[in-house]
Amino acid sequence: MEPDPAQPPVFDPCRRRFEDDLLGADVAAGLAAGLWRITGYAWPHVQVAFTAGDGNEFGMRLLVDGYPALAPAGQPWDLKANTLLPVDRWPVGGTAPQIFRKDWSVANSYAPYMACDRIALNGHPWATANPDRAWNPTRTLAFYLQQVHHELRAATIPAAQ
Amino acid sequence: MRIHVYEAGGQSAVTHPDADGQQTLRGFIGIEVDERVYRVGDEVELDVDVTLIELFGDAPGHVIRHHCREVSVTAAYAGQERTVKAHVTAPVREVLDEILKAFELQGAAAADLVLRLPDSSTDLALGAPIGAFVSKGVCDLVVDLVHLVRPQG
Repeated sequence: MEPDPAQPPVFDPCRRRFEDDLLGADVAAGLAAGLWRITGYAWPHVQVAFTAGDGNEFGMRLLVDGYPALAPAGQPWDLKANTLLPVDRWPVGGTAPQIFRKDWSVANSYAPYMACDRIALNGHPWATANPDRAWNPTRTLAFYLQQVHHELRAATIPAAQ
Repeated sequence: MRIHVYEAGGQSAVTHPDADGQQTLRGFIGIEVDERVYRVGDEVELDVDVTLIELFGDAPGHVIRHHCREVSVTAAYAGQERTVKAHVTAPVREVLDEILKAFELQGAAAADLVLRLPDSSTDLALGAPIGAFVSKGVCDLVVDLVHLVRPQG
């Protein structure tokens, strides 16, 4: 999804950097490979549909203000209703329950328990203990998307009731 | 128009945000002897004498230029090796799936595995074409199949 050309020119360096990365090759490659789709964008939020292991899509909304100094802050998102995704529709199977945790995540802004996510990274020593999985300002949106997609490769997405 | 170009050994694409759509692919890329150009994810060789706008229309173009059609990917895991063949345009995700099959890994055992170049701490991008990781002059690639270390605590 392209940034809206009707919007005024971008002077916010965070937003400009984010929009460059949103249109970058790595995000496009994941799109072409069917790993994810960008379903909505209005600064400072972007909505993404990830393809899970069962072929169904799992939505997330990412807050990207402060990008890339700050990591994206993701939440499971109902892309149709445009609201937080209920916990009973979070991914199950594979490694997904270790990331979308019904204990920790619910108590922490619905954040995924990942070193690339702003909420989870804050308060954990992962930037130094797990640098290859952690966000740092040299990362791009594609890194975050790939980290989440990886955790969904063996997951199934419960159907809406 | 926006064109992303991968090439052998480049690992990530070079993005040209303002390519002239009236240019031919040949004129735009400057293809070397023995190189072919493919749309990423598509094994059909592109006609390099067609203009960019004819090839891609209004959509961003996503191509790889490469001297190989097919590459041989040897993966090392737990002291064993398996080799699979892949077209240079195949996304890493597809190659990973083939390697997991070759090692007879599936389900939970496979969910935590990623591909990396030897001695690298960076996962190969799943959406990137495998040809981007093959060095110029060769048509084979050695990778490690490694367990993802998930931060805990």
